[in-house]
Amino acid sequence: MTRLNRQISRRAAVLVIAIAAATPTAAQSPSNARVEVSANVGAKAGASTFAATHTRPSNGNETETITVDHGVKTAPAFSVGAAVRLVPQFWVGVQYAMTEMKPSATLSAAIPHPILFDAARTVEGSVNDVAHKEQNVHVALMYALPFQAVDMKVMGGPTFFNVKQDFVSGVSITETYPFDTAAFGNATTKQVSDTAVGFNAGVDIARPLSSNIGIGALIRYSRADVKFDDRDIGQQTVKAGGFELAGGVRVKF
Amino acid sequence: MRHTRLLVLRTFATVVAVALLVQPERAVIGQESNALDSRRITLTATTQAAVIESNSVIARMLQARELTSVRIQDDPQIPNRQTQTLQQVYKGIPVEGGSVTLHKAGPTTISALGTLFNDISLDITPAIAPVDAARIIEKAADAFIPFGASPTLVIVPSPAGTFALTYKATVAYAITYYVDAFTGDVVRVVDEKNYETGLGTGTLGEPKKMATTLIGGTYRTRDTLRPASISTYDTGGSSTALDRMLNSNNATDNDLASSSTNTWTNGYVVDAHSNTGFTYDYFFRQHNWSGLDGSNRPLSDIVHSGTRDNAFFIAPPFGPNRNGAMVYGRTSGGVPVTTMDIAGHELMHGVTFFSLSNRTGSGFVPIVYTVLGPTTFVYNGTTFACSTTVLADSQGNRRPFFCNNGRYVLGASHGGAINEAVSDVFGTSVEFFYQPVGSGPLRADYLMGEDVTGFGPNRSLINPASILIRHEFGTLGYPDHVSKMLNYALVVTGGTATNPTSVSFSPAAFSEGIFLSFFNSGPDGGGVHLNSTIFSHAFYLAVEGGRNATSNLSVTGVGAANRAQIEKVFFRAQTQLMPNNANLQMAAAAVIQAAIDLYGAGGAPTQAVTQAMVAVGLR
Repeated sequence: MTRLNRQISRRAAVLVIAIAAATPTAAQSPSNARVEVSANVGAKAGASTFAATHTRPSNGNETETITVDHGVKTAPAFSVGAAVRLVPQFWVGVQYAMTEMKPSATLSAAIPHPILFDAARTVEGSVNDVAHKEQNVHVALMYALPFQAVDMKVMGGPTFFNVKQDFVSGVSITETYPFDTAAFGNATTKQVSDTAVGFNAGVDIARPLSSNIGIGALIRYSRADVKFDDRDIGQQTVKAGGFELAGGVRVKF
Repeated sequence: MRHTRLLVLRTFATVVAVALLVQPERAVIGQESNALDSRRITLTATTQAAVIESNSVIARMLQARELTSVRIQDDPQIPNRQTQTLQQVYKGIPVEGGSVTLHKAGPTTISALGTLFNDISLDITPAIAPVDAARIIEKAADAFIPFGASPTLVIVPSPAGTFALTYKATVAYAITYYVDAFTGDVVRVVDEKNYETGLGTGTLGEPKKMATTLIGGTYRTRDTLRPASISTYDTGGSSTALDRMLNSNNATDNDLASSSTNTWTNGYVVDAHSNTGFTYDYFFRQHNWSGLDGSNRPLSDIVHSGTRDNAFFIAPPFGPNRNGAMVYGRTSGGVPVTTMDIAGHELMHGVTFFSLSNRTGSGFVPIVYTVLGPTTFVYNGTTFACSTTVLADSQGNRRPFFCNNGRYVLGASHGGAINEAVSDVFGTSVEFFYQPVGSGPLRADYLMGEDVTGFGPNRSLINPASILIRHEFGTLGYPDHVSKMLNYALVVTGGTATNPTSVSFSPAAFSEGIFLSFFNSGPDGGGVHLNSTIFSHAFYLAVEGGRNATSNLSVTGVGAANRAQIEKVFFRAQTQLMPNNANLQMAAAAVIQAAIDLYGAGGAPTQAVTQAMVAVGLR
C-alpha cells in the first residue's frame, strides 16, 4: 500500500465515522427503496508508480533508451451512478467515474554519441504534468448490511477502464562539441489512450437525511493493467485505478 | 676540345627547382666559410649564450631594415609566451628562405631558429612588367594564375652566393613558377602539393558514423557537427570535375557525395569523410587545435578515383572556396587511398601549412641544403664527369650539372622531408588514438598505409630500412640515420653553369657515396618522402625507446603509456617553433626546445627526444 493510499484509507475512516454520527431528520427504512442514484465528489490516488522504457534508433543506428519513472498524485474524482435492488439485501449498480491527475515524472536517457560508437551520454531530468486520465465504468454487485442507523453496502465487480496516458516520446538535449556530455533540455510527450477490463471493490455508507435523500461516503479500490502499443512509445503497461474516497448524495426511490 | 656527355631524362618535366643552401653544420649560430655560400647565417639558438649571439645579428638587421615582423602571436600552449617571425627583405623585396622564428617570453627570447643572408646586393628594378611575367608563366604552365594571385617579386639566393630577382606565381594544382625578372626565363618550377605516394585503402567493413547534412531532401557529406565544417566532394572519376574543384575553386553542394537514405556504402566517401572527422577530433582533443589553421577553417575532401596510388593536400588558393583540400585517389588495384593514417597524414600537411603560414607568412619554402658529391658516376657502363655532363629533359632542354671544383653538388629538400615526416608522425598518432594497438587491419602501429589492401605499408617509423626504396639498380632501405640520407645531383636551370641562379634536382642520387638512379621514377621532390624516415624514426625512438640500427645508439623512450607527451612535443615544434626554412637539424632543435618548453630541461620527454635526435644523427 502506497503512502497516498494509506492517507486515503485514514480519510475514509474519518468520513465514515462522520456520516454515522450525523443525526437523521426523517429516517427511512433502507429495505424499502428499489432504486438508488448517487453522485460523489472526492479524491483518487493512482494505482501505483510505473516505469516506462522505450528505445529508438538514433545517431548512426545506435539505440537511444529513455526510461521514465511516472509518479502518482491524488486528484479530484467525480462519479455518478445508479443501483437497483434485486432482492432485499442484494443490489446491482453501475457507476461512471472520472478522474484526471498530472503527476511529475523523472527520466533518464542514454543518448548515443553522434560521432563515436559505444559512447552514449546519460541525461536525467524531470517532466511536470504528465497527464493520466481515467473514465471508468464500475459494475458492482452490492450486499446491504443490516444496520439500523446507516445504509452500508459492500460491493465488488468488473470495471471497464478507458485510460488516456501521457508518455515521454522524445528527449531533447543540449550538447556541444566534442559531445562527450549532454544536458537534459526538455521532453516531448504524446497522449495515448486504450481500454482494459479490471475489477472494483468497496464500501458505500449512506445516512438518510429524509425519506429519499441521504448523504453517503464511498471507499473504492479498482485496478486494471492497461496495455498501450504505439509507434512512438512502444509497448507500455500502466496500472490504472487505485483508491478512491468520495462523498455525495444518495437519492432513493 | 672539351667533350660533353648527354644524359637524356624521360621524366624531368616537373622536377622541383629550388634555391640552394649549404648543408649546415651543428653550430647553433654560424656564418659558413664554405665557398658555396659564405653569406648564409643559420640560427639554431636554444641556449642563452646562443640566443644572445643571435639577438645581435637580428638587432643589426632590424636596424638596417633588413628584417620585418611578419606576425606575433600568443603561444596557445604556454601562457605568456609568444612566437614572432621576422622575414628578411632587401629594399622591401622578400628574400626567399630568409627568415627567423623567435620564441619569446615577453621581451626575453627563448629560442631563435631560421636562416638569414648577409651582404645582399643586386639591382631590384625588373626589366619586365608583372603582366608580362604572368603571361610567361601561364604559357609555360598552360594554366591560368588564379584571380588575385598575380606574380610578385622575390629575391632568390643562388648557390654561387649571388641573388636573383624573380617573379613568383602559383598556377593550377599548386605549381609555382619563378621567372627571371630580367630575362623572362622560367628558372624554377616548384610542385607544392604534398603527395602521399604509393598508398591505397580499402573499405575494410568497419562501421563508421557519417556526419551529414540534409540538403534539398538528400543527405550530403557535409559535416556540420564539428566546429569546422567538413565537406567531402566526389569527382566521380572526372578529371574535369577535379580541375574545376581545385583550380577554379568551384565545388557546389551537388558535388558532395549523396545518399537518399543516409546509408553510405562507397568506401571512398565513408573513409575520407569519417577519417577527416576523426583526425579533426584528435587534434582538438590531444592538442587543443581546431582544424587546419587552428581557427576552424572549413575542410574539404575530394575523392577522385582517377588519381592513382596517391593522396595529397593542396594549399590555398586552391581547392573549394580557396581553402585548400585533401585529395584522395586509389591504387591501381582500385583500393581507395583513404585509411585513417593517410587521412591523418594529409590533414597534418594542412596543419603544417597553415601554422607556418600564419606564423611566418608561408609554408615550407623550397630551400635546398647541399653537400658535395663525387666528381663522376657510372651509368650503363659510361662514366659521367660532373663538369662535362649535360642532362636533357623531355622538353629538349639541356641542363648542365652544378659542379664545385669538379664535384657534383648534391641537395635534398629538408623542409619537404620534415613535412612528410611530421605528417607520418601524426598519421600514426591518430591511429593510436582510436585503434587498438596491434598488427593487421584497423590496428594501431608505426607503419604507414599498412591497411591498404595489397599495397602498404610503404613507410615504417619503427624500422625504416625494412621498407625498400626501388631504384634502377635494385633496392635500398629507407634511411634511419642522416648519414644514409639521399642527396640528388643538382642541374642548373638559371644563370650559367659556373654561376647558377637557380637549380633543380636531377634523378641522379647518392646515398653513402653510392650512385642511385631514379631516372625511371624521378627525384621525389628532393627526397621529401624518402628522407622523411630519419626524422619520423626519431619520434618512434622517443616514444618506445630502442637502438638505432645505424648509429647503434640506444634511446630511453617515455614508453607507450606516455606517447601523448612526445606527440605534444612534436606538435608544438611543428606548429609553434618550426621556421619555414628549416633543415633537419633545425627541426631537431625545435623538437628539443618544444620538449623543454613543455616538460623542462630535465624532463623525461626532453631526454627522450634529445637522445632520439642524437641517435639519428641530427644532434
